[in-house]
Amino acid sequence: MRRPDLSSLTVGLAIVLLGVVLLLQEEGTIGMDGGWLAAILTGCAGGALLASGLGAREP
Amino acid sequence: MSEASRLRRDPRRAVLGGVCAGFARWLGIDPIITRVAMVVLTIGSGGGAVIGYLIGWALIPAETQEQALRRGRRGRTGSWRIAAGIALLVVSVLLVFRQLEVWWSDAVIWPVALAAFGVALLWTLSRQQAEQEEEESEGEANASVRASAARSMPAALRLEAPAERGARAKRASAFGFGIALVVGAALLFLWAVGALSAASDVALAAIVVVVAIGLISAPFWWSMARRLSAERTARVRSQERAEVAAHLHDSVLQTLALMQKRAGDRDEVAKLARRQERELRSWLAGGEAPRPAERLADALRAAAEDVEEAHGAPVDAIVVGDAPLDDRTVALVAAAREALTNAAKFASEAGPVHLYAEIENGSARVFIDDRGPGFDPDAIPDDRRGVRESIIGRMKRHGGRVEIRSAPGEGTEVELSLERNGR
Amino acid sequence: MSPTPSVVIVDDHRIFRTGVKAELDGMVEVLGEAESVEDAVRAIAELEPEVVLLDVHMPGGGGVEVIEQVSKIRPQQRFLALSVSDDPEDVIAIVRAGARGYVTKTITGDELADAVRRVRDGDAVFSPRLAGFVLDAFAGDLPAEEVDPELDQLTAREREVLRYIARGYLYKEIGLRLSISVKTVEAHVSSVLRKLQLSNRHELSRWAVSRRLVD
Repeated sequence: MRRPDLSSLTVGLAIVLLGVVLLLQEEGTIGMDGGWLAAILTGCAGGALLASGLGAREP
Repeated sequence: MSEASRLRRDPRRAVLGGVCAGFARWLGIDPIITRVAMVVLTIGSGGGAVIGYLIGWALIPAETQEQALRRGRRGRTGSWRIAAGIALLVVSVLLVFRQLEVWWSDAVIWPVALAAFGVALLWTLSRQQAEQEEEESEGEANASVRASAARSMPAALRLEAPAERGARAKRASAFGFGIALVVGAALLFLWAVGALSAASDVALAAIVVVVAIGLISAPFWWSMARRLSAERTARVRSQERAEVAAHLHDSVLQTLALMQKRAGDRDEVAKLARRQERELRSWLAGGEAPRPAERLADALRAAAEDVEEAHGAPVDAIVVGDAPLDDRTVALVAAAREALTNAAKFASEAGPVHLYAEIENGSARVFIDDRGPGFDPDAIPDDRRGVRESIIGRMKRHGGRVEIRSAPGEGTEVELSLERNGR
Repeated sequence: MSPTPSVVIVDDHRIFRTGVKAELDGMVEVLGEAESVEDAVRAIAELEPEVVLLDVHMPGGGGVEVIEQVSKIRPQQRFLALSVSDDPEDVIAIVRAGARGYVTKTITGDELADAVRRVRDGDAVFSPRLAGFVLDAFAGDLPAEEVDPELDQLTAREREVLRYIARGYLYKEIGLRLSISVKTVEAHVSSVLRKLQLSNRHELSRWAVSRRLVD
């Protein structure tokens, strides 16, 4: 099995996390107002960009 | 690689404790970005982030001198993505602080953060610009030396290749973005504070004044820019001349003087001329210095030169392809050297000795041809037999092959071949 | 015995021109000399030599400029490039411009006369070093869409012939070794020249273009 590409993995995980949070919000399990949502959104986006940039770096 | 990717503080480039600089080095970006992020987080958390910094200072070990030396330069790809990623992460942390009520006020934090990112962007860009200009002016000097010396024409004009134009456009737009961030931050602050309409009057007045001053001083800026560029060209030209003069003085003049002294000895003069020609040729070609201890092609050429020097017989070396030097190819070079020496000693009367080598994908074939008297392969005198055995034996031990073809009156061919991975 | 070929020598070094004239004496008829691009174009148009011995490096655009201007008024003119430089950029550039051969200035008088005769008869002349460059330029594979087998690849036979040339063999010797006639060897070499001039291989374009950029 090939070594996993870390950056793609992180981006994928970030998207999955985002989806889970939105899903749970719809279900009503978590009560989240806009502020928290914005925080998670930007956090996921930031993490994904960072991982992608680091991934492009690896020689 | 693992050394470079461990997180360490960087005490040498530190403003305080080197935590930000260390993070920046670990990520491979400009420390400005991490420092700005730190400042924004501190303001946003009302000072709480300082605790994080102190913890970092205490827990992250500092980089020792030798680690710094071993670490090489990291590449630049992906830098913008990393910086953007950090910016977004900082925003997300700020939002969390906001939710947790650890907050000053919207009107202050957001403009400050925006302005901080804008400043970081502009700073990084201008630093990159300065570095690049230094590299460029050195590169120009080198390139012009080769070009003008080799072509006896006026120094080459610098034409912008399409790739350069693209990079320049990217940099200009990044500058624009940075300025937009800072201006946007100022406007946001004014709007939040409710002073926007009042500010707009002041702003209008300010803009008018700035434009007026700009128009008045425009010719001054223009002529200064032109003078700078003219000075730079002049500097490059004089660097050129100095380099060419130094080189000619060191090598060519010496050789010419020597040749005049030894004018009676034809062979010696021819040898000096050949040596100087080769050296000047490779200097004009520019490029990297040959590495006969690391590259096979350079090693073969060096062997040919050595034999030519030692025996005064011209050797033409033509090498196609290249490969790094390893045990097997070192043996190949040694065998080639012996074959060349043989040819130069016994067979150089009728013409130059030819070395032709083809190197690709780990396999190599070297041909050494001469137009000497040739010999009958079955009737070798004892002293030459030993040499031949040593050539063949050396090659065989490393999984290579040797073929020697010769006949009386027809010159000699030696073929040395090395296949990839032994036989 | 074919008649002696006529040449015009174009080179901006007077000492060299005198030397070449002396070496070719008796084997080749030297109709005239020129030492700049304009003089060369004028002399060639007036004297109508069979072959032009052309230096690569001259002020005003070099050998490439001479070829370009002459081919407008005398397209059938044949050029043999002669140079002290064996920089791949120069070599490939002048061959792509239309020279039918390339030899270095260290060549002997006999070999030079032979090369002139060859070019006069319509064949190509490759010095060992040029053969090495060509093999280098055509080494390696190209992605399928870019390959025009006619122009962008050498046949196995052509490669063999080039290898022997790089090793310093004369055409006669190559013919003996490969059991083909000298005419066939010349045909292979001419075919390689054509590929060199027309191929779209990156290296070849890069070498030719990079020289023009600096000019």
